[in-house]
Order: sequence, then C-alpha cells, then structure tokens
Amino acid sequence: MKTILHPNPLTVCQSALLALALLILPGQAQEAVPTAPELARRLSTALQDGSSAVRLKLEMKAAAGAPKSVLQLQIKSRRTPASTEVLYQVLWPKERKGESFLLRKSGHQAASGTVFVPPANTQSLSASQMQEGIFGSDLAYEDLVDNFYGWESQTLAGTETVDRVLCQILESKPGKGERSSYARVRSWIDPKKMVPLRIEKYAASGQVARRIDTTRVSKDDAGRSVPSTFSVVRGGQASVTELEGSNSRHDVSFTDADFSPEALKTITPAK
Amino acid sequence: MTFFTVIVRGLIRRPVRTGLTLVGISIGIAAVVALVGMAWGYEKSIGKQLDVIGIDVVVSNMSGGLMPKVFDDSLQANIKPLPQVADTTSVLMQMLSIEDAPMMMVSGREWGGFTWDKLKVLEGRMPKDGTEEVVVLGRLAAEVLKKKVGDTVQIEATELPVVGIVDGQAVVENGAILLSLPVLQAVTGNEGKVNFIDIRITPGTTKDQVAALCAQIKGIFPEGRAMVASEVVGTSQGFRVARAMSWSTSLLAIVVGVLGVMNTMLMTVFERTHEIGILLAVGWKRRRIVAMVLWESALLGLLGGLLGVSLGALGLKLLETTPAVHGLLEPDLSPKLLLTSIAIAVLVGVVSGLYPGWRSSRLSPSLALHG
Repeated sequence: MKTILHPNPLTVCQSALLALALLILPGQAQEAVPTAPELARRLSTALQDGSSAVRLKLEMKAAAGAPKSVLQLQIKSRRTPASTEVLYQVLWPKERKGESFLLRKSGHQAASGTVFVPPANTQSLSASQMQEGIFGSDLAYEDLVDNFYGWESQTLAGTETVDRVLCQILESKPGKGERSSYARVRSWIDPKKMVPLRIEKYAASGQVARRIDTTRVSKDDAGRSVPSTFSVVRGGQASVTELEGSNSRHDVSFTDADFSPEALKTITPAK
Repeated sequence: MTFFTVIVRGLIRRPVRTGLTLVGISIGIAAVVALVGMAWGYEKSIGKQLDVIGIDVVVSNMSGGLMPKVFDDSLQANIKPLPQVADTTSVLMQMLSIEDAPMMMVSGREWGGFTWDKLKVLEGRMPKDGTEEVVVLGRLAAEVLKKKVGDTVQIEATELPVVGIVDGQAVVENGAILLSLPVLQAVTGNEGKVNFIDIRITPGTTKDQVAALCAQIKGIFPEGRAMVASEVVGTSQGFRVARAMSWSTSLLAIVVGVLGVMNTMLMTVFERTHEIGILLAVGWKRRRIVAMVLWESALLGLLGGLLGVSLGALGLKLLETTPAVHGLLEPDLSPKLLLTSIAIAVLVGVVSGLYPGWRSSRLSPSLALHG
C-alpha cells in the first residue's frame, strides 16, 4: 500500500504544544541567586516590620476532615532588630473572648510570655510551655517570636519546586548563644516574592517537629508579598491548624502600655 | 445523498471517537464559560452595585492590600464644594472574617448619605440614627452568617445586634454587613478615617467636566484617585488580573480542544482517502473537499460548544452555591457569554479543520483510489 499522505498527528500535536510552551513560558532572565546569609538577612529584615496589627482566623482540626473549631484573633506586634513583642487576643467565639498572651524576646535571650484567661487568671509561661501550641493549636508560642533567619548559621541546601515555584532551600541552625528548641529549620523560599512557601522545623532527633505550608500569598497594606493563609502540622500528629490573616495594618502606633500585662486584660482595636 | 449528509455520515462513522472529541471540546468550552463567567460576574456585581446606589465618581487610594487604604474623612469637606458635585457621602469598607464565616464585606456608611437610599427593608428596621450600635444584613450575608433579626454579629471585639435584613438589589450589597460609619470606625479603630468618598454629579455634566473634576480631586488628594464609576471596574488591578487569568486558562483549554479536533479530523481524512478519491474522481472540486472537512470540524465544534455551554452553565450554578462564592458575586451567564463560547467552539472547529482540509485537498484521485 502506497503512502498517499504523510500523516503524523502526534508530531502535529507535539509541535503545537511546543509552540504553546514557548508562548506561555517566555525566557526568564537569569537572576543572581543571593547567598544564604544575604537571603536570610532579607527575610529577617522583612520580619522586623515595626508596628503592625493583623486579624487572624485560626481553624483547628483534630484530623484532616474532622470538625473544625474556629477562633478569630487580633494580633498586635512590634518587631525591631533588637526585640520582638507580640500580643494575641481571642475576639471570637464569645466563650473564649479575651483569652490572650503576650510574648517578648530581646536579642538572643530566651523568649518570655504571659497568658491571660478571663476573668482574672494570669500566668507566666515556662520555657517548656513555650513549645506548647497557642490556644490549643499546632502553632507553638516560640514559633511566633523565633527569628531563625537571624541565626548565625545559614546555608543553601539546594532548590525544590513547591506549588510550581522553584524555591531556594535555606537551612538555618541556631548558634551557640541562640536559644531554640529546634535543632535546625529548613525554609523553601520563593526568591521572587521573598516569601517562604514551606518551613520545616526539626527536633534534635532529626524528626520534623513542625511543618508550615503557605497556601496563599497576598499583598499587605504596604504592597509587599506576605503569606496570608497557611497550615501547620506537627510531626507524628494528625491535627491540622489553618491560619488566615487579613486586614494587616502598618499605619498603627503602639505605646509600651499596649504590650504590658495589663493590655492582656482588655481588647482595644489597634489605632 | 446531499453534501450535508456526507458531512454527518463522516462524523457518525466513528461514534466513539466523535463522542470523545465532543467531550474534549465541551470540557474546554465549559472551562471558558465557568472561568469567564466568574470574572464577568465579578465585574458586573461591582458595576451593578455602583449603578444601583447611583454613584458617579469614586474617590479612593487603591495602593496595596485587598481594600483601599484609609484616609482622613475631612477630605469630603474639600470635595463637596467643587463644581459639578451634587452630593457626596463617605464610606469605610473592610473585608473581614466574621465569626466562622468566610471573609465578607463590612460597610460603614455615613448616616443620611445616599448609599442608604436604595436599601429595601425585608425584615426588621434600619438603624435609628448614626450612633446606634447595630447592623443590618444584606439578605445573602444573613444567609451566610445564619443570622436573623434579634441575633448579634460580632465585628472585631464588638457584638452588634442585627436589627434588619435588607435587599440592596445588587449581589455585593446583599452580601454585606451594613452599619453606620461612626460605629464601624469605632469598632475597627479607624476613628475619622474612611476609604471611599462616593460622588453624585449634577445632571447634564459633560465628560470633559467630569474629567476636570477628577483632575481637581487629584490635586487636593494626590495619593488617591477619583474615578468615574464605569471606569472603576475596567481600571482595577484586581479585575484585570481576574480577567487575564480566566482568559489565559480558557486559552489553554481551547488549544487542547483545537489539538483534539485536529487529531480527529486528520484521522478521518486518512481513513477516508479512498472515499475522497472517489469524490474527486466523480468530479468534486478540491475546494469542495476542503469545505466538507471544514464543515465536519465546524459541526463538531458547534456540538461540542452546545454541550460545553450546558456543562459550564451547570458548573457555574453549582459554584454559585458554594460558601466561598455565595453572597460575594453573581456569576455571569449572559447570552453574550453563551453565544461567545459557542462562537469560540465553532471557530475552534474551523481552525482545527484547516490543516486536515489542506491535506485532503492534496490527495491525488488515482493514488487515493489505488490506496
């Protein structure tokens, strides 16, 4: 049988797909990859964003698919290169309204914290309690004040694609004078947006103690890319905590009174 | 046997293959309807809200964040006396996560301002005055929050009684929590701040005069912008991104559809070389052979388009009931979108048939008959 036509539909399809790929994947300019210390420095600077207020919805599930319990939180924070102060307060539900905690950390010193449960129960957090979950969630107190991008040892551990974004893997280890319950932290950084898309915190045993996945990146009020929703899981646990931040404001001014133990007892909007 | 019969027979000769190709096109077209319908619905919802309220010009500072930045509400006093300004009213609008519901619009409106005018009370009442610490809920917001008159809604740390359920005649209005401006300012710690000034202009104002007014407002509020309401949708970064994303995803679906139909039509042509040879031998012109292939692929596109539009419309209706969408926007299922989608499907068919048609026209009758 003679070949009359020279059909090769697959070749046609492949060529078309290739053309399409060339259309939708324009050549990306090769940007110089920052060194690990430089990457860590940029991330650390972004974290120390001065005074801010954020609304946070915190959803806790005992296991994926289990019924969720929701908390609405107000966060006030003051972060400078020298110190970090954060105040978390439950706004909703009614029966937990007013539960709050205040955390402080200066330089390489250990973080300190105070918890308030209405009507009048105020307690200091011990060092071991700093590793417990906030409001019963999978996110620990120390996770809120530890700036591991400021740790001494920062190395690049390769690249990996997370959610179709090629990320730099930054590995941070605490130095001798730095206190943390984690032996090392790995962050998958989107180098364009300078946002971690995944963070894994390892215990001294080498096991993953906590894993934080960014599920959405948005622009904050200053036009910077920030993780706006993320999920937290603990190693070996079935529970999941999902967090959704909104209404972030940097046009706020706080006084020392806003981060005093007395501030734990009243909920006032950030101004 | 008519020309049309030849075309239909060509398609039903391999029903499974034709069916699968139809499914492929219809999925692509369903994606176009669903994605573009959502994007258009998003634009339309905002446009309708501005239209229903009767807003002609919007003043805001759109830089950064989900919502425009707040600014001092004293700006309104500077805008009010400008020529062509008939009325102004200020609004503080926030996207907030309320209780355990998804993010929703909370709108604090200047008491007595025209933004209250078009709200129809379905149940209960409106706030008594600008200082009463109460809310009214748009009817969709009431559904989402599962609240009725007499319940309370907690905004930030403050619990506010629901005194009314209203119909705002636009999905954005119906999906919102509405309260007086000073109450929302106090609750959110934004005393003296707003993020929108809505303007009604005097009837008979020309386009040039409106442009001059916007420029004048820019002069007294350099960090912000005054925009004609009809331009708000067109110039917003959010709308542009939504539009671009929906069309680019649709384009991919369309390209896949084109490749599917092209593949089917090429196979059809290869299988029918003998038939095509006979048609050429009995005097069919090459142009007619090409037309036959093009008509076949266009018909395939049309049928896929009709099926895809039905699937897409069904998908949009389902999507509309999901908590993430319900009350926030009303997907657009206008005849324009449906007809555009069918036209795209037919175009996909025709474009996909071009190469197979060209190949068929190059057949030699004698070789085809021998093959």
